[in-house]
Amino acid sequence: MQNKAKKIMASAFIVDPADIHDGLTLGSIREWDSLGHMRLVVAIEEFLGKTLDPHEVVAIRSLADVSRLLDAGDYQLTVNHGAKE
Amino acid sequence: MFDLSQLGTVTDIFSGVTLDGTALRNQIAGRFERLSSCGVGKGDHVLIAHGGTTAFFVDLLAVWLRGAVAICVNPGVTANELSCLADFSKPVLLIAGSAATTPSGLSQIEPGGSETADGSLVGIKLPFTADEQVLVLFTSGTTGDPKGVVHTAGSLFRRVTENIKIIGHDILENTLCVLPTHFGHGLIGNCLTPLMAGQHLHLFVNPGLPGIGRLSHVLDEHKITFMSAVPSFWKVALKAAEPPTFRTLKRVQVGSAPLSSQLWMDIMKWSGAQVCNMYGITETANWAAGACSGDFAPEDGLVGRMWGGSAAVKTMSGVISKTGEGEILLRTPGMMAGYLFRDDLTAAAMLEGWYHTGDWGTIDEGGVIRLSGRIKSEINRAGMKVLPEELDLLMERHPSVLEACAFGVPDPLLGEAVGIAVRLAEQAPTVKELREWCAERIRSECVPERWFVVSEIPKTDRGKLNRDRVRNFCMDKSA
Repeated sequence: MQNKAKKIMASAFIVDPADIHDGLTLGSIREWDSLGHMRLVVAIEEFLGKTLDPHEVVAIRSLADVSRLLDAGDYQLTVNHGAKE
Repeated sequence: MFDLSQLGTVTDIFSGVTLDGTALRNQIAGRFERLSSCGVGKGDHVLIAHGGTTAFFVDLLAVWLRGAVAICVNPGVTANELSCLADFSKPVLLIAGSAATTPSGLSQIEPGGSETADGSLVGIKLPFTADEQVLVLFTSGTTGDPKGVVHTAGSLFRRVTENIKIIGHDILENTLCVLPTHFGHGLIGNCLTPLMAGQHLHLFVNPGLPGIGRLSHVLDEHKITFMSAVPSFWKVALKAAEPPTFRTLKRVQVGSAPLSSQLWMDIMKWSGAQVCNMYGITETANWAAGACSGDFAPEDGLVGRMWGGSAAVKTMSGVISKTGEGEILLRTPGMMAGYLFRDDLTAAAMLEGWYHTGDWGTIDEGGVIRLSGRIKSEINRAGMKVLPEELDLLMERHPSVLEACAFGVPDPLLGEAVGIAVRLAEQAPTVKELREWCAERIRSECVPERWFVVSEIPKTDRGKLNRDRVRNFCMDKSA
């Protein structure tokens, strides 16, 4: 799921996927400012098919956080709707 | 004219520093003496390259008390931009933090706040007549030909006085500012208005995501009654912050970029306050017209009636009319004196006694203004104006860029993002390298988000650039 997270982040920040390194955190690159963060949130919501709560929105601080959110969402989707394609 | 005896209180929420009117006047008096010792006198230009703190207002008001002109610039400008602005505006002094690179030949002092004196000993009336220059705000051109909007004591005083009258003294009781203080919307509308009304200004400037996430806590804790922001701020806030528990907000103003009717309604629901869509430009000392919920139903493009002064349209056939469709023209109490050292630009913008906004729209029989588009090429990125011509010229200074053309790209969050098409020489750098080169030379909001490397930049039949056409060409190619 980390690769998926990297792809989503690269797309949200409009940067090369190679720039999304493992230690990336909020504010560590110019593109991850509050507006970049909102692009990321929208992309995550699209992937998960649900709206994030405000506390989830502000809790996203790193690549690891994004991976965890996607993992949890993937698990939920699998439980609720059967295996994903 | 402004009277310092009526100054309100200012609090910096980040540092916790609060200066009431007396403390503020004492610090201004101390700074006044420091500026005097630096040789700052009547009519001198002083460059202030910091902001968003109580110290900023100490510096600004002390500069004015000396009878000097405050030139407030984005603290995020690069060293090159600061040098360019200093060369152009010819200041006698720079006030900036220690991280700033002082342009050669210019004296620099640190931001105020450390000196105090007896505020009752200095004059309380600012020493200006109505037509004397007091403030310059740059709207573009920091890498080449700067475009600095000059306001007089009269234009600022009239604007602030109208703001207080229209918004209401009590509504300004606890005002929150989340906007930068070098920005007309933030400085004049959101800060000087409550300060000059003797009310309490709470600074929460550029709060970033963690700050926006605790917006409701800030509103509740400081019993905020009034705030103004740009649409993109609210797009973040509505996602990242819970609604406030205590409904202290009475009025929210949104401006500097188009506000959709949906976002307008979402802010009303979140805040529980009256929400006003504002029309303002730095040249008009910010708010020139507004439409508030309660008076109007939210509607895309609706900016309401004038806040003093008058508006007209210049139709396609060049006729100026009080009603109809065309370019929106303004005459306002807060109209600028002109562009600093650029009589050519002033003459082009002020034709036939009207300021030509470059906005296209309608005015109905009731004087209600609705905007539908822009006829100038300027990019409005989340309320910050970016001049595409300036970006073209900057990028074409790169040895591997043969040609560049910047344009606005529709963006759901920013309104417009900055896009650029570049034609490159052989052995060209990567987009990442170009972006970094650009970021070293121009403030962050101007660095393009969308880069399009093209083999040819399309031109019109006459060989001219048409930015809409280049944008469509690039967007089609990347689709």
